[in-house]
Amino acid sequence: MLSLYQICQFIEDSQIGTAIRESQIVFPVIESFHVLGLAVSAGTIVLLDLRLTGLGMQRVLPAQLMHRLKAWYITGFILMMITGGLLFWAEAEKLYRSPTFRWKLVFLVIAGLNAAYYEFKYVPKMNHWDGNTSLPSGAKLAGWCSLISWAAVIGFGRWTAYGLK
Amino acid sequence: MNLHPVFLWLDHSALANVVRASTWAFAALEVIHLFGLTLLLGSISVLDLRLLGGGLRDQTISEIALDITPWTMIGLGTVVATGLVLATAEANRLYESGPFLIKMILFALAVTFTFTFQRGLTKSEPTHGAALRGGIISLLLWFGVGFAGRAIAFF
Repeated sequence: MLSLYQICQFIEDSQIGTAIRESQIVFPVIESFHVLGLAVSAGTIVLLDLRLTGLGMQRVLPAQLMHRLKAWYITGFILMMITGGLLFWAEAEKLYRSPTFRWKLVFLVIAGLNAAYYEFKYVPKMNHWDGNTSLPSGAKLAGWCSLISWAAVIGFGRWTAYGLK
Repeated sequence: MNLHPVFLWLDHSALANVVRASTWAFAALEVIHLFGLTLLLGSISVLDLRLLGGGLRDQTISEIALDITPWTMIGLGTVVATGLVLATAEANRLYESGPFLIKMILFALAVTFTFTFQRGLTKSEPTHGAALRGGIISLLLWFGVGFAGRAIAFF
């Protein structure tokens, strides 16, 4: 029975993993799309969160932000998963040994759970929130949780790249 | 105009030495630079998406521009403040860097464009053609800055 560490070694040593890691252009390009994909994924979610928390975006209704931008942030997150998966393929063993990467994954899960909670509890009610009603405190809390967990994902992500040996 | 003495001076400055001597300062600055970038590019992307006819179609372009511009400015302030300190700590390396030069040129163009065009949007609704052109130029310039920035680390 292979340990998780051995599996990560196997992934990193694979032909594709090695090819990505040792490439002149492919790795930088994948990494660039991963970092800049932040704008389309986390960057759009931030605007929804600003609305939910009441910090900004007052001229747009929460339901409009959510539904009009959904295709974009879903696409953004798919891009992040694909580029992230390829980056992991190239450096799986090092990432296994990285404590900051584990924290990134923890906060990714928290962000995901928060999104799922919001989807089931509040999305059905969103169409009733007009510009004048104050949003439920649970929705505001979900907005803050989203802002904090995505900031943590970004922070630990950058810190991981910095410390990867 | 020879900027080499400026870069040398920055590289030897007390600020540069403090940042370089610290184990965590540079990484922390980069993280905050990324937060600013997310806010800056995220808000601009949503505005440009609207200019191209997509995204938040229930609002006029002016309304979106009014809501988004404060956040674009906060993002911009953040990347500039952190960027200045980061650049100071690596001034000698950046002086030799082709991607950094390209990034700065694109940045100057992007900021000029945003301050003129985007400001105009908050005051009046653009024509269809102006909106399309503006959205495309804005996206190309700002993502150009982003890609050039990433290239600094690799080339």
